[in-house]
Amino acid sequence: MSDVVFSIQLSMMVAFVSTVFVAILGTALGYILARFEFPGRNFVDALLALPLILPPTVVGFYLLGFFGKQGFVGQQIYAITGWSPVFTWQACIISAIVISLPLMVKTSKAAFESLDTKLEEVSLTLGKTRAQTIFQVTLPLAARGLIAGIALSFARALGEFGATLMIAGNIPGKTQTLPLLIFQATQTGETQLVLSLVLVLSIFSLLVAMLSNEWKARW
Amino acid sequence: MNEFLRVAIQAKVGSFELNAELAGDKEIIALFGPSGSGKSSILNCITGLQRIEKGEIVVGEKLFASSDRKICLAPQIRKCGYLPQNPSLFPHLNVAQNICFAINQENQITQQSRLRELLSIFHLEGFERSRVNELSGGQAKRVALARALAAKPDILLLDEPFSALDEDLREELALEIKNIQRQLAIPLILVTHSGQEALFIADKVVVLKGGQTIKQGSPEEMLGKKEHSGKTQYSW
Repeated sequence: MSDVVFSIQLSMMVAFVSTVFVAILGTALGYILARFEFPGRNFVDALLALPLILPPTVVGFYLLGFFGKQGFVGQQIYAITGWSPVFTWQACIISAIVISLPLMVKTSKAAFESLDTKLEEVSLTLGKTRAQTIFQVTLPLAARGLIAGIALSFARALGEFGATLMIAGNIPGKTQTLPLLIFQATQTGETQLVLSLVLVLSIFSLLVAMLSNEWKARW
Repeated sequence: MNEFLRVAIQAKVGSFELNAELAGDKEIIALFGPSGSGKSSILNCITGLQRIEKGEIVVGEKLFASSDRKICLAPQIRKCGYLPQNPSLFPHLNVAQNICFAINQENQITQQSRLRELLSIFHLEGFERSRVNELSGGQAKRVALARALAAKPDILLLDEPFSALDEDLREELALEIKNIQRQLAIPLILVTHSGQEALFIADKVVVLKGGQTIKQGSPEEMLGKKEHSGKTQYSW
């Protein structure tokens, strides 16, 4: 039972924390891709969409190569701190961020592209800086799209499995998120437990989708 | 030239080349010409939304842009009251919030006092809490004008302010704009492709064609009532 509670808590924590990162990073990247022309823009756009297209296990393999002790970033982290994020709860957050970021980038980019840029131009002529314009005009007007992106990212982070398994492992009481626990319980034939967990995850995802619709309607 | 307003610019908007020169005092200047002659582009250059390649823009003591001196002030510090062709009101804000947008960093007393003043000038009392999508075309133009004036601009730039309005409203709004310009004593540049509009409201007319200023002078000299009365879209 304690493993179940731990998995629910870990999954919620991972989903909330990763969504905060994804919301900020995805909104900024979506804005840059929607508003600025720069060399390699198409490449960056495609690169950010890759985790959406690639199998999560492949993304997980890349993450291992990146954050592992011998990895490009992992080596630096280990050299400085003596600690590696691989097979830790932090790895669950990293994989959730990488997997759900494309959803936020795509939805926020679409939301910014659909805005009438004349409104932003008028704001500039009314004495607002570009930053003030972003916070007072662009973000409020794109809010419906951003809320949809946040809800999608949260749901995706909550259900993340493949990449998490690769980089964080499936360690009960340490890195075992709810989808990983469901996988393990299915393997070991604990049907009642699987059904309960599937129901919990389904109801929670449904609530998130309904809440997101409610917020979008109110905005 | 020692006029209050001096614009001598060259700019490129895609494949369109603009080469315009105009000057004037604290008066109403109509930019007159067919669609695609560069009228709106001149306004965009003055607001700073479009960068100039060569030339300079001077309003009063303020040098907005100068290619020689490598100066190009950002739009937010030029103090231009700008009304685009479509009023472009902020849909997430109500009428009062739209009008006070430029001064929303001021204290509430200042904002409320300016709001009351502008609501009265533009006959918008009672609409403060209205959503902007509930307004008629004429009311939306008035709100956009009030918003452009809220921060007491140094110059007013109106892009086809009378488009999409019926005849009575056009005449009423034209008189209001004329009165406001006289009260504020700031230069006002408006874009029109109607000779009648230009004759009715302007102190000076600048005629444009293919991105070039062709001539400028008094409305009668430039347009002549008889010559243009049959060609205009509107009757006043």
